[in-house]
Amino acid sequence: MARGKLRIYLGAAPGVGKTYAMLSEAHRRVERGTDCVVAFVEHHARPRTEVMLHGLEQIPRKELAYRETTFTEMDVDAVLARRPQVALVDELAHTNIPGSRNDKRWQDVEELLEAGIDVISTVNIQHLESLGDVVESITGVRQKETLPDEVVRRADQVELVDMSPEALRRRMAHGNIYKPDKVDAALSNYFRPGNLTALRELALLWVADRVDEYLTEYRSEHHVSAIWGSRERIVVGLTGGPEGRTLIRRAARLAEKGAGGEVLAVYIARSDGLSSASPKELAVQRTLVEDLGGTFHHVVGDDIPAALLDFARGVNATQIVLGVSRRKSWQYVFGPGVGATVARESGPDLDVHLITHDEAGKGRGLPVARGARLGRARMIWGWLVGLGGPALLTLLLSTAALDVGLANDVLLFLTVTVAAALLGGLLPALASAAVGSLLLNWFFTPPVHTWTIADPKNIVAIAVFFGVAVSVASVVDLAARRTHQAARLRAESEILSFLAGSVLRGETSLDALLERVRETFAMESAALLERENDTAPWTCAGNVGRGPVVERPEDADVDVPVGDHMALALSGRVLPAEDRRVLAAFAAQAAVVLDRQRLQSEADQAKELAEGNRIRTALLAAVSHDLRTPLAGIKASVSSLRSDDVEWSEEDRAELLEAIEEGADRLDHLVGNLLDMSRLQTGTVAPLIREVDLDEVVPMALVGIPDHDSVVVLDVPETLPMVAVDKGLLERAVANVVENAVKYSRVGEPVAVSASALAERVEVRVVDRGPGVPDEAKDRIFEPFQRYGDAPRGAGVGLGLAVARGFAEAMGGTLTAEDTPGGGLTMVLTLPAARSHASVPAELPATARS
Amino acid sequence: MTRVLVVEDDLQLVRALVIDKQARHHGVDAAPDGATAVRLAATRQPHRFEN
Repeated sequence: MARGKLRIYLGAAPGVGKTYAMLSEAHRRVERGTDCVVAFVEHHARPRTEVMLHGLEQIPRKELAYRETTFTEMDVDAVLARRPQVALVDELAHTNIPGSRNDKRWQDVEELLEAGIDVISTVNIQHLESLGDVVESITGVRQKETLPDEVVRRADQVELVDMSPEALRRRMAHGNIYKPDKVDAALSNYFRPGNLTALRELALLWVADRVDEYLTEYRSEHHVSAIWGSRERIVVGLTGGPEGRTLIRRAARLAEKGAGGEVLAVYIARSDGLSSASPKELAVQRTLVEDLGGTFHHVVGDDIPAALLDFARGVNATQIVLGVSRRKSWQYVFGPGVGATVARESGPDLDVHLITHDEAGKGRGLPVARGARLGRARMIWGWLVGLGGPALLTLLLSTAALDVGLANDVLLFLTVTVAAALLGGLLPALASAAVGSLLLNWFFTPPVHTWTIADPKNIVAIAVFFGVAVSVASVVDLAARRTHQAARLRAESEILSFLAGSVLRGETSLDALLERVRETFAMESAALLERENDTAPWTCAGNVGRGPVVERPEDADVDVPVGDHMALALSGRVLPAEDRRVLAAFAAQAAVVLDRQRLQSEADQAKELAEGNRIRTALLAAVSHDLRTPLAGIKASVSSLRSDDVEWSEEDRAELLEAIEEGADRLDHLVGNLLDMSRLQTGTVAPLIREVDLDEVVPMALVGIPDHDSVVVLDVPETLPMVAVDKGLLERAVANVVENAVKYSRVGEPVAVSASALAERVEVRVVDRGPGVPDEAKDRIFEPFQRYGDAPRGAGVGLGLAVARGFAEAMGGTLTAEDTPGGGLTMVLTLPAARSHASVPAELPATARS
Repeated sequence: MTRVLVVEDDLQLVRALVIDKQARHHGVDAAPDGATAVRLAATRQPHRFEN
């Protein structure tokens, strides 16, 4: 007999629609003529699911008695006898009632499959055995009913029924998944968005067969406490060219993989060299980096690979992203590119990514020599060419017996001089000119091998040669110096525009500005010092970096004064004088930022005072109306009773006396609330924490509520653990919350007060079916003197909920508002369970198993 | 008989006032808000208003 096929609908949470999907498929199959029966389907009183059962043949369930209750289970024998083509069996992970043939329903399904019957079933991701640990840490609940993974893996088809967490929560809020009275602490916790998202991800990954990967990542995340190791830190080296944008985006994508990472883009400006960056392009790249969530850094350094690696090591980077060099291949004669050098020197802890981009290999103009103030290598070459060149040339021309004529000889020597000028500058060229003219005279001017020159034209030739050589040398030298100046000014203006930009962007923190200065100039520490007058000692207004704070500006390596009473002090190395212009700008800016910070804190203080004023005004308004009303009532009643001109009947007298007492009670209650509020605000509430049984305290709290027997329904099980609270505060908090609920609930729909436990917390839920409160207002209702919407007539200064929350928090608990499924507001008061008793084993209630 | 219209939203105060007025053999109407007060004033035409 061929084994039947197993088809499973897998879901992330109850209510996503697995049973519904299963039943839809059954209907489609029946329409196509397949013999399909319902062996066991549980609709949980969800109307849309229940409706789907109509029209399908249902095999009656078997009844079993267990512990004085009757349960129903699938009747396996009946299904086998009926021998349909397809059987629908809900909740594959279900544990059968003791007394059934098999312990678990999946074993029943095995029997059906062996008999050749196809089975369609449903499973939740939390039921898979191998995922137990992960699910427990997500939901906080250990799943007891589990299913061996192979049962699901062996299925011929696993279909994922997916629903977004938001949609699921909406279904929950409308009451489409569970009735409100079934919602308790465990379920509410299960349906938190964070939970649902994590479970959904787990389900998706499992179906994609990638759970191993997830588990490894998850475990390593879970056990690694330091952030450094697991998170990537990616440094992007920018040259200021347009390819920077590609690099930044690439780095951002790299950062998204795995556990997420940070992107730090660094632009290294030469302090004294040519740079090919346009400030506009840099600004664009900076915005791009910040939009993607990274940070932009601007560093000054001469040796680009070294500066980049220093920066990367300083921020503990794990990866460096660079662009492939823009040099053409022949330009490599001048040395390896930045990329190759960085890769070589990076060491084992830094990965270097060289990203190709459109600009690669297109060349970038003149190869930039290290330092346009001609470096040593060039000088040496210059001298070599300047002195050796003419010598070589002489050798060449005389031995090879090439008689090209004096004119051409002169020109050749001139070429050598120009080369020497280009390479080495003024002095080698002058030397070359001198040596060249001497050699020309001796070897090539007739009469040869003498210092005399026969032909006057030749004198002119050599003289002119010397003149031209000297001119060329000067021009080259001047050009080099001008270029150096221009580069310097450009670097400065970049930094200044960048500084101005940061001001406009509102980087108002003094420490951030000081850090920028420190970073830009690669100093060890930066501090802003100020003093009140010329004779007072210096104090430090802000300080960043390593090393001790300098006492006086004079002690620092670099001191930039701002006015008479402030100075920017930098320590680490001595900076060249040329940098002072930029530093002065930074220092001025730092002074401005400091001022602004101080003004801001003053403004904040003023705001607090204004807020305090508002509360006092509200209090006055509240007192004047809501306290006077009961007083008016008392006064009216007393006056009436005392008046001589009326005979009071016993009834009237009793009523008036009752009115006086009620008025007095209201006054007492209101004043009590006011006092509590002021105690809470000044922080003088000192709770006396004891272990208390909820089922004793809660009924006491309800005593003060009129008609509490009919308007409030209590459901506090005795089996709840004790809570560690202050009895008086708890009573008050519960009373206030219930009063509020009663005020807003409709006649005929009593307020339900229930309690449940989850792990180390006990929740008291006060459920009303009134109009409810929209999400935006849910926090506002807890503010003092707040009456949401149109308050019904009667008592209330708007303090009840504020006091309740204040008390709850003073005891180490919380008070939050949630929506009641189907409409209304549920107040959830969470309290800490008493430690001495074992906490309730956190297990998902039966209702959440599907 | 004097008719009195009591305009007051607080239930306890209303009760006290109504009892008082009734004991003095006045006819009493009670209105919890302005709109009702205007309506009752037009139809019942009290002699005095108290609020």
